[in-house]
Amino acid sequence: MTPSLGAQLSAAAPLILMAGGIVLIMLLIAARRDHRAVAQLTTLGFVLTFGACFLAHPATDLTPLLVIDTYARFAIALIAAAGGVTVPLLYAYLGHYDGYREEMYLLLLLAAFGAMVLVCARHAASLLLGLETMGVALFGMIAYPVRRKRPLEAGIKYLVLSAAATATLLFGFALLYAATGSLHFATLGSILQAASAGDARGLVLAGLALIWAGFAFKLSLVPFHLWTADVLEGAPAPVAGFLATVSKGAVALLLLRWLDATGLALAPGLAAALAVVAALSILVGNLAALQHNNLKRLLAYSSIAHFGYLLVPFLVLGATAHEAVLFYVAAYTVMTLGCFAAIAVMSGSEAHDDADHLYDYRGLFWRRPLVTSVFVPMLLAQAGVPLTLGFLAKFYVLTAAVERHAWWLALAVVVGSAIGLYYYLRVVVVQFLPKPGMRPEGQWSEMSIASGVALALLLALLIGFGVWPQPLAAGIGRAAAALH
Amino acid sequence: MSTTLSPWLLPALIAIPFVGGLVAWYAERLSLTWPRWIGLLSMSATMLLALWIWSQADVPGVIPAHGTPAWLIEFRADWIPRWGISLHLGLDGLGLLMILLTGALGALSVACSWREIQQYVGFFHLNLLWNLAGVMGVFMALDLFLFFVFWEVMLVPMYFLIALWGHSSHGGRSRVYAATKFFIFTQASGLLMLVAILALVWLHKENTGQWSFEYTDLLYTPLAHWQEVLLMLGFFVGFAVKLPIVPLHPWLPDAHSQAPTAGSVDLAGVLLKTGAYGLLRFVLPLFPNASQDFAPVAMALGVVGILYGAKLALVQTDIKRLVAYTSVSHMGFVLLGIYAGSALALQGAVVLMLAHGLATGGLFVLCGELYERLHTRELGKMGGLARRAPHYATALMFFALASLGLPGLGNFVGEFLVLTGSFPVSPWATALAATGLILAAVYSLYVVQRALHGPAATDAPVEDLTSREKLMMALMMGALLLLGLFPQPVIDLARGPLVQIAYWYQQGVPTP
Repeated sequence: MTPSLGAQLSAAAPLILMAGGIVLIMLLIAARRDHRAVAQLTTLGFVLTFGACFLAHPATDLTPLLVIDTYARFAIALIAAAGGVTVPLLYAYLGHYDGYREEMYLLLLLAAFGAMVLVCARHAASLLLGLETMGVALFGMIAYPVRRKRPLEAGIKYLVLSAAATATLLFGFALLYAATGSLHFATLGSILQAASAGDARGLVLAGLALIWAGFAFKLSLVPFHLWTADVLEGAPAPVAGFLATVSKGAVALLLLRWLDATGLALAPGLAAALAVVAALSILVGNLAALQHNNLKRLLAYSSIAHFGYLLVPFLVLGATAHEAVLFYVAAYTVMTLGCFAAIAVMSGSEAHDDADHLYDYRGLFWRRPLVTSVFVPMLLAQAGVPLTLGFLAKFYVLTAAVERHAWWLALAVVVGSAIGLYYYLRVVVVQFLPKPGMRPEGQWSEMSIASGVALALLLALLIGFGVWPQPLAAGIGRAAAALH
Repeated sequence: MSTTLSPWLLPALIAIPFVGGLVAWYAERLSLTWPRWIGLLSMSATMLLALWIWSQADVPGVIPAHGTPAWLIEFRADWIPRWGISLHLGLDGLGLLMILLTGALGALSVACSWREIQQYVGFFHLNLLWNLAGVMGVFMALDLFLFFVFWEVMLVPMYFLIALWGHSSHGGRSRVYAATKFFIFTQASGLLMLVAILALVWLHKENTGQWSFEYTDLLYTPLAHWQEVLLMLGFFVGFAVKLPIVPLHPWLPDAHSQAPTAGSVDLAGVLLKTGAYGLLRFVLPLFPNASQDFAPVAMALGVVGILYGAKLALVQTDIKRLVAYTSVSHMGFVLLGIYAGSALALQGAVVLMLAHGLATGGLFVLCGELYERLHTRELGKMGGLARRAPHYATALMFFALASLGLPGLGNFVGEFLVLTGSFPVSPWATALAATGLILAAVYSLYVVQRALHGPAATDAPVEDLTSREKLMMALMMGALLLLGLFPQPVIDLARGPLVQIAYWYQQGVPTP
């Protein structure tokens, strides 16, 4: 049954709002450049989109390509929230930038829009559309400070590798299409089942493997993780935060839809390989992070480890696995964004590079206590300390693993977390150590207040939902139920 | 009467240090003395509140072994209904004793830092009080999720206490190293425990279809034997690191010797007790059969801990490290008593926990004072203190004697009860453990002899105890004497729950 046009339009309200916002801002920039107005409008766009997600609707199909259900609305709300928090950070970061600043917001909106399309996708075509819209916009965002070497290098690296990954994905879909004649998630599952029993088994398996390789690149899982540290190090700090959270989170949320359609049961070898990938990501991510004094690289490796943890519920796929994935992505978004936000506040887009060396943070608590009082909880949350979202995320993942008796994966999570403590604590404690000649610094300005609001918001989410998770848990329960 | 006690007293016990910490942090702007007074007041208030609860509560002498645990006060509120998690706190005699100890040693920790801590005073008290708030929560939580949260929450402030206000021993490891080692040991073992908790909860859910982290629900979960053994081990490792039990103890000497005095008092006096408390409250009742099977191993580990800790204490030249190793030895007795499992042995273990908290707390305070005066902790650089600082020497002598188990002081009662209670269960282990008392006499007297007597390493005059320090020491000595001479009220207070736990441990938990 096709819903009426009105129902379709109102269900698609978040996407329409986003698209409208993009056009509006593009026209505004063409007419008159005004950094503040553009930032404000962008924020408004994200806030409206976020709000539109809370309008109750039954699950609605928009063309064969997209579906807007509770799950999609939850994901869109998360992306909009992450985008909304990124705006004030960018505003402060670009405050002293001497080129055109306004296009950054356009790119941000485009990337967020791509991510939103991605989480609504139920067809390989819309999947690729969303992925590419997001990827191309992100490329622009990473390389935005064009006169600095590292962002340019990072941008080109991301462009080339991301395109290669998309090509792999595309080829995988082509193989599946050759075997089944379908690209629609809803029908793909059953057709795959039949096809893999017949002559096309080789095609199906090769296709699935290629698709997973493409996803693994986007999620920066070992062994497809090599781009992560370089790109996140080179990208401007607010962009790095957005890249690490939204682009990876949206792909993870899409992957859950994909997995529900196709499952892993078709290819037991693939499931075993992915278990190894998860364990390797946890170990390699954590061990590599130990080696680094560059904060952005350290966070990049820690994010590799996080996606190793996140892969665990995907693999076990028990009754609570969907909730675990959603919760982990939400928690990861808050705490990683928070860390990069703190780095962004400490950096500026002047000629020199971001403040990403560990030494830059020595004695920060005594110099800029407010930044530290956000940064430290974010790091502790990543380490899994209770009363933060980070602990609850680990709790969900471990529950999902225990529920399906995945003891080895649970053990990998425990070991990984134990190793992870070391480098998170290193960053934590350095902020309290005395630094010669330190005195309070940083002054209040419109820029610093804007980014302060973003930091405070993230901290409130981290601690608020960490102490009182029931509203989030209930919302996630509803969103996960929409998938079944 | 217990009916008159408000359930809100329990959250109050946690909230007082928590809020006190925040206020102390802020009060630093007014003056450096304010945070100290606020810390002292809030910890004294919790202790007085606990004493008041003791005086008002209707302590049951006997709890029927078949019954559910009887709480003096119980507090319950919904927290995360999705997972069957509630804010469920309960206090029985055992918990109340631990709360009292926490309050007393908390106040002592604040008092002993009065002169030592001069940097970041407000933030120091914030960490100290939050740590103590977490410990309070551990001793009262009856929801396993909540318990785990408190268990972890007490770590972070302790980490900061060691890392920021600790001492870096010259040529040795830095305080950050010690703090990180402490954190990683406890957090990693804690995560294992979390996995065990989740597995237990999941098994309960398989049985009943309900998610629940409730202690009294999980108590009656039927488990296959292998499941019980695995889960028990998960919990055991978590608590064994804290206690500490010998192969898992390496964090302790480093953490103790680098920590500031208050941190050492807090670690030895209170944090180690959370491990023993966890074994008593969770491991024995939740997994009685597996614990019975495991008892020989655990008791052997206890004996090894007693002898190994004492042996290592003997060869230390750093007085604080020495005291740290004696803790390992004393906690061996506690472990022995817990796994002997008779009511007598459990009572002994609890009395010993209290006495060890007071005696070792006192010793650490004395070490700290010594360091403030001599700027060294090397025994070789002391000597002759009995002449140079007679009051100090008296106090050190007293606590050293308490630590070696002199009759009339608390430790003696505890050790005696543990040994008497363990002998029928395992005569050989008990006999071996008793030799630890000889070693305890040797190392305690060794400290006394090296530090107080003999030729002084330098002729510099040593300031004797100030009146603040005298008051602290006098109160601690009084408490130890009381515990040694009149232990009966303490034993009575904890008898109900301990007899019940002993019964469960020996007979299994009967369904109510």
